[in-house]
Amino acid sequence: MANDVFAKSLLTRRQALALGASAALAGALPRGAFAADEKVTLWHGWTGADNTTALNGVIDTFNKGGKGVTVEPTGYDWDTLFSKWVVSSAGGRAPDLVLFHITELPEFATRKVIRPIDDVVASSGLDLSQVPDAGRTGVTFDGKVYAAPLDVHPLGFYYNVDMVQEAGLDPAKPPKSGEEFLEWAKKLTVKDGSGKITRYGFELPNTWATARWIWFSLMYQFGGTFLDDKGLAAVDSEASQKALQYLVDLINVHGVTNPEVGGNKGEDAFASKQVAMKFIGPWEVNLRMAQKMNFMTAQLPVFGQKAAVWANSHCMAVSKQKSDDKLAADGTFMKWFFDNFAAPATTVGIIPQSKAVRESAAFTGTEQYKYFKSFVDDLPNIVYEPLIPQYLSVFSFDKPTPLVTNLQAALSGSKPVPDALKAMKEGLDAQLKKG
Amino acid sequence: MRSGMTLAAYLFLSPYLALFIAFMLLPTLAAIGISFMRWDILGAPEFIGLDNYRQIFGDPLFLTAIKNTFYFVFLTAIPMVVLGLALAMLLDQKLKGTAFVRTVVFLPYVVMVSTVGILWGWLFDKGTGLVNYYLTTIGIEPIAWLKDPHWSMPALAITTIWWTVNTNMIIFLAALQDISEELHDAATLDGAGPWQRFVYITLPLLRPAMALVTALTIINGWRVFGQAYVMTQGGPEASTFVIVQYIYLTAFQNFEMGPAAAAGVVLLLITLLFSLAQMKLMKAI
Repeated sequence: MANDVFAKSLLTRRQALALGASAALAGALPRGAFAADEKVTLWHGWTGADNTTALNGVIDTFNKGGKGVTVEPTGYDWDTLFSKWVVSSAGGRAPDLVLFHITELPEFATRKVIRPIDDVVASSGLDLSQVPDAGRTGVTFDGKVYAAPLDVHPLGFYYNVDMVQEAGLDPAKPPKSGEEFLEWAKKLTVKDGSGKITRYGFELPNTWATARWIWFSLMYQFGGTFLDDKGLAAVDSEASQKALQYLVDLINVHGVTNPEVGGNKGEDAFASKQVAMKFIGPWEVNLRMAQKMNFMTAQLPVFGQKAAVWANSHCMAVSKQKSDDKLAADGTFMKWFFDNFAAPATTVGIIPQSKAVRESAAFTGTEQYKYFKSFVDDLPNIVYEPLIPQYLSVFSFDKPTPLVTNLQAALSGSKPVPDALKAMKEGLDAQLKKG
Repeated sequence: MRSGMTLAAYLFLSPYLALFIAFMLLPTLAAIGISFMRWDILGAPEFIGLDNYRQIFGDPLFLTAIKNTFYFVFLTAIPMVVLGLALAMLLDQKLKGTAFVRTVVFLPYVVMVSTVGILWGWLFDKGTGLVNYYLTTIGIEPIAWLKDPHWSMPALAITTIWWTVNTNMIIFLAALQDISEELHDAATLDGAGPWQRFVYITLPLLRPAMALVTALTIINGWRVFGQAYVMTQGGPEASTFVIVQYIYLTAFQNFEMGPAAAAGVVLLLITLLFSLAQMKLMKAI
C-alpha cells in the first residue's frame, strides 16, 4: 500500500517534470507563428477550480480562433484582485481587462482605474441592446458606459425533494407566499423523540452574506429601499424592520431555522441534511448536481406586497492605461466573450445578461437549465444593491462592518431588531458621508 | 587585525542586513512617515500631522480590535508557555518513540494558516464537527464555536495553541537538554525528589528560555491575523476582529493608507513595549 503511494507520487513527479520540460521547450521555440497576436491580460476573481478551468477553456477557444488577439487570464480571490489592481494601476502596470461585479463599478470609476468604453462598444459591435435595462444602468456611471455586463445571478430557492416528499408536500408546487413558505418550513423541521431538533426547515446562517441578501430581498418585497433619496441609509424604515423581524421570528417564534447552522467555509448544511431549504444563487446548481442531490429550485416566494429578489452581476471593464494601443484587441475579446457566454455561464452557474445568449440552445439545452430556469423567470424582479462609490467598504461581507455586525446581532438575538437597525443606520451613514 | 575581523563580521552579516534593511527597516520607516499623511495609493500623499491618530482612536472599531487582540493574547499566553514546557519535559524523556512523537507534535507548524483555519472550521462546526461530537459524549451540549461571539475567540485561541505551541516546545527542549545531568544526579544523591529537582534545578535554569518564550508568545499574539481572517473574518459581531485585520481592512479595502499606517505604528509600539519588558526581565535574571 505504502509502495503504491510512493509509486504514484513518483509518477506524478515524473509527469510534472515532463510537463515542465515541454513547457520550457515550447517557450524556447520561435514565436513567429504568434507574432501578429496582440497580448491582452485579463484579471478575474473566479478562483474555484471548476470556474478557472471553464474560463481558461473558453479563452483557449478564443485564442485558437485566429482573431489576432491572445488573452492571458489570471485569477485572484476578489479582495486580492482589487488591492493588487489599484496598486498596479498606481505603478502603471494594470492588466488590460478586469472582471468584477457591477456594484463595484462606481468605486473603480471614481478611483479612475477604469476608462469609459462607449468607443470600444461602438467599434467592436458589442450589442448592449441585448441586456435588460437594469444591467445597462448598472454599467453606466456619470452617463458613460464603463463595462460589458456579462451575467446576472439572483438569489433563488433550493429545496431537497426527498425531504419535501417525506413531509407529505408536493415538490412540484413550491411555496409562493410567506404563509405557504412557513407551512413548508414547519413541516420540514424534524425533532427526535426527546424534542431536540435534528433538522431545520430552512438555512439562515448569521455568517457570510446569505442573510444579508435574503433580508435585502425581503426589504424590497415589503416596499422598502436600502438608501433614501438623499443617499443615506434607510435601513431603519418600517419595511426594513418588518423584513428583518420576519427572519428573526423564523428563528425565535417558529423555530424553523437556526443562525448557528451552516454558512461558514467548508460547511454544507444542505448536503449534510441539517436543513431542507435554502436561498442561494444559481452558482450552487453545479455543486448540488455533482453531489447527486435530489433537489429542485424555484423563484423566491413573495413574503411582502410584491416580488423582489437580490441579484448581482459580473462585468468586464478596460483598465485605464497610459496608451490606448490595445483598445481594439480589448474590444475584440470583450465582444466575443459577451456573445459566447453560454459555456462559462453554465459551468460557473450564472445567467447570461445577453438575451440572445440566454435564449440560445447553448444555454437552454444544458442539463443544468432545468435548475437555472427559475432564476431566469425571476429576472424581472431583480434588485441590485445601491450603485455607490463606497460599495466595497459598505457591503463587504466578510468584515465586521456596521451592516454585518448589526445584522448578526439581530439574528443572534443580542440586539432587538429596531436597536440593531438604528445602530446599523448610524454606522452606514458615517461610511456613506465619507464620500 | 581587529578592523579585519570587524569587516569580516559585517560581511557575514551583510546578506541578512541587506534583506532586513530592504524589507523590514525601510518599510517600517515609510509606514511611520505615511502615518502622518493622507494617501489613497493613487494620488499624491499630503501631510496632515496627527489627524490619522485622532481618527483611529476615535474609531470604535479600532478600540474593539485592541480589546479583542488583548483578549487573544490573554487566552493564549499562559497555555502556550505552560503547555510548551510540559510537552518539552515529556519529550525530553529517553523513551522509545520520542523522536516520532516529537515530529508529530511539530507537524502542525508546517501547515499553512489557511489550511489550519479551514480544518478547525470543520472541527468546530456545531452540527457535524468532531469537537462537539466528543463534547456530547461527555454530556456537554454542542457549542456553535465560530458563530457564538462568546466562544469565537476561545476557538481561535485553541486553534492557535495547537498550531504553534510546538515552537515553544522546541525552545524549551533545547534549554532542557542544556541542563547538565550531573546537577540532577547530585540533587538525587542529596535526596531530592522529582518535584524538588524540577522546582530547584530545572525551573531556575530555564528562566532565560522562559523569558524568551513568554515574550515571543505575547508579541506573536498581538500580531495574530491569518487564523481570524480565515476562520471568522473578524466576526461574529466583531468578536474576533483584531488589530492586523483593522490595518488590512483600512489599507486594502478602504485604501486609506494613513490611518492604516497609524494603526501599524500603534501595534509596533505595543510589541516594542513587550520587547523592552522582556529585555528587562532577562537582564534581571
